[in-house]
Order: sequence, then C-alpha cells, then structure tokens
Amino acid sequence: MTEHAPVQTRSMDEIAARIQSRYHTVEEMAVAAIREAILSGIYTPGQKLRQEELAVALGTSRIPIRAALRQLDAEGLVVFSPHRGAAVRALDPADIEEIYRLRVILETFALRAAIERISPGQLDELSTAADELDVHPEGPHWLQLRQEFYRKLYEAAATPRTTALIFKLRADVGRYWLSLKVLHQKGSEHRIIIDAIRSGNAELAERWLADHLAKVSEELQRRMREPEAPGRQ
Amino acid sequence: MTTESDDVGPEVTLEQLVMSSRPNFRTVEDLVSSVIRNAIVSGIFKPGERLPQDRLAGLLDVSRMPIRSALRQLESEGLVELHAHRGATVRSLSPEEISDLYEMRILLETYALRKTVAAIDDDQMDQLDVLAEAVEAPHGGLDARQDFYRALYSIGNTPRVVSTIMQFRAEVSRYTTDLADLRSRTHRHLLDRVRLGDPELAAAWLEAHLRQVAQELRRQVAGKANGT
Repeated sequence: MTEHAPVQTRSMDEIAARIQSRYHTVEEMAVAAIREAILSGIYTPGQKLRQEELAVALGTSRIPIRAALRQLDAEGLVVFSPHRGAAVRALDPADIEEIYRLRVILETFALRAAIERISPGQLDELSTAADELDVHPEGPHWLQLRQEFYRKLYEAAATPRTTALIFKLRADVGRYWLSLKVLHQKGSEHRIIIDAIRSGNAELAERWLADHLAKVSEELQRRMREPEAPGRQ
Repeated sequence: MTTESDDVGPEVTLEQLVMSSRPNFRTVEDLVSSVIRNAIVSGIFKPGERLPQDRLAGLLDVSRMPIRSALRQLESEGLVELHAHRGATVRSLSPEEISDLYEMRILLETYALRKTVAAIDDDQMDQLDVLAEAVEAPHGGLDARQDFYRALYSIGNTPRVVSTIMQFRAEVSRYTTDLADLRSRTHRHLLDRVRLGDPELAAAWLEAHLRQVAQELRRQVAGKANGT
C-alpha cells in the first residue's frame, strides 16, 4: 500500500485526478484525497483548509467536503470547527513526545510478537525488503521501501489492530518530519531487526527499538523548538 | 439489582437515548454520532445487526446525510462496518481481534495507570470516590463508568493514550455485558490499589484483571461462533 507514501513533489490536483475514480462515494473520495495531501506534506501543520478551494480541486460541492473534514477531525489530522473553519492539526513538542512514547509501547509489543510468530516465508520476504533498502539510493522512494519493511515486519506479529494504530501514529509524526524538510538519513535499523529475528533475541531488539525511537523523538522535538519550525506562527 | 444493569440497563431504548442526548450537542453530526455510538456500546444494537438508517433519521429528525457521515466516523472508530450496497452493520469482533484489543488495553492502561498513581493528589482521589459512587448508583450506567475511567487515567496527563484507551473500551464493552460478576467491582478494586500509592502494584493488579476478562471473553465469543 503506497497511499500514505511521503512524496513531496505532488500537488492536490494530481492526487485528485488519481483518486477520483476509485471510491464509491464522493465523501470517501474527499476523505482519502485530503488525508493523503496532509500526510504527504502538501498541506502543512497549521495551514487553513478552505472548503471552496477543496471543492473546486476535487470537483465536488461543499457538502461532502464538510463531511470529509469532520471525519478527518475525528481521525486527528484536522481541527474543524463549524464556525471557525478547518485547519491541518498542528502538534506541539509535548504531543510529539507522547506519540513516540505510545509508539515505543506498541512497536516493542508488535516486534516481540513478530519475532515469536514470523514464518520462514515471511522472514524471506522481510530479508528481501531489507536487501532493497541496502541498495536503493536515499530519497522519497527509499522512505516508501522502509515503510513497506515495517509493514511486513508488524504484519508478521498478527496483531492487526495494533499494527493499524502503529501506522496511524507513524503517519502522524511522519508529516512533521516532512514539514521540517529534513533530509532523512539512510539508516540501517532494518539490519539490526533482521539480525535479532535470526538470532531470536527479542529482548535486544526491543531495547534497541525503544532507544532508537526515544532518540528520534528528542531530535524531532528539538527541531520543532527552533524558531523557523512550522506550526509555530 | 443485577450487576449487569450497571452497564446496559435493558430498559433503555433507542428512543430514550435520543431524548436524553438531544440537549447536549452543538451540531447535528455530534448528536447523531453520539446516539448511534451509545446505542452500539450499550448493546441496543448487537454485533452484526443492521443499522436502521431510516428509523434513526426519523427518530433524530434529521436527513440521511448526517446519518451517513456519523456512520463513517463510527467506522473509523471500529464500531460500524459500511457495505457498498447493503448499508451499515454493527461491527463484530473475532476472538483474535479481542485478544489484540485486550493486549493493547493492558499495555496502554497499565502505562496510564502508573502515571496516574505517581501524580494523583488528595483532591483527585476524592473526586474519583465521588465518580465511583456514581457508577454504583442504581442508574449509573455506561456513562458513569466511562466518566470514572476517563477521570482516573486523565490524571496521568497522557491525553492521546487516554482517548485511545476510551475508544478500545468502547469497542469491547458491548461484549463484556455478560461478565458482570467479573467486572462489577473493578472500579473499587482499582481505586483501592491507586490509594496505596504503588504504581507497580496497581499496574500488576490491572494487568491480571484484564487478562482474566480477555480469557473469559475469548471463550464466550468462540462459544457463540460454534453455536453453543
């Protein structure tokens, strides 16, 4: 699934054209298009979302746009008030800290379950995904591959509800990394995880993951506190 | 009074739910989603049951549109399943999903509880006692129970964790109404442990309790799936 892939060079028009044919109802289409535009950084944290403009871009009336914004409010990506309009939800450093703490809890649990339950076939697939990460050059597509790696990993845990929540949280902080226009370092975390699975050392992998996420959390919070950071008008 | 009516109050009908909810909401959409959510969580609409959209629109005196938009929101909360041509049904949970939801509840609720026990002061303890009494009142019901747990976990100041916990609780609570014996005094037991002031002790008790409920629930759901 590449729907939430972080690619910065797209526009709302491009998303609209691609998405319009895929959905049963206009509202579903509007939700999917606006969600993707937020997660891919086209609309940045704190940015106002104007209903008329969205309606024009998506070729709909304003009514399904309102319904879509309400649903995205419920999902936590948008703040929508009937009187003051809608904006992309901005997070502060305390939000980021909480999201990463939540991710540590959920991802270490999913990782442990994945290490216990992964089948030889799934491990082969995961290894292939890790090899791709090693050889592929840095950039948006590399991030997409990394997303796929973690999806395969956590799917092996067979905890579908946990996995869904993990990816929601990952997407929510992912849009912050995008909005900061930080060049992602091509990391090698996937190797550490593969090694831990092969040696069956769940505890080591969990500890490493918890440390890693804590460091990333601190780094993101530090960057958000810098004066030119977005979401701080 | 049977302990079961703590949560479900079989005497509560959809009509009464609509009447009691109406004054509390600013927008039509909030009202509609809240009524349908409560009706599902309290068991008025059972897992797998088709949701009567025309009847709901009539009762709430709204058009079909806010009903659809509420159903989509409830779909994202995991309570409703929308079908392309067959309307909407109450989502049922498989034994695996119940396990997964309880594993997450254990992780998140023990986390929030530890924070709460570490942070709680005397005033907050008194407020929780008042909320606990409301749960035990003859018509305490689901709202009082939700208020108690929301207040308890909110003391730890982890708002996102709390809203996730409350959503998971809402998803599974409709399945636990038959487990009245197991859960009827949970809030009191929990409060006693919070009062002792040891985060680890409280978390350990909660984890053991949730594991027991999850096990009981899996047995029940598996039993129903086998037609027993």
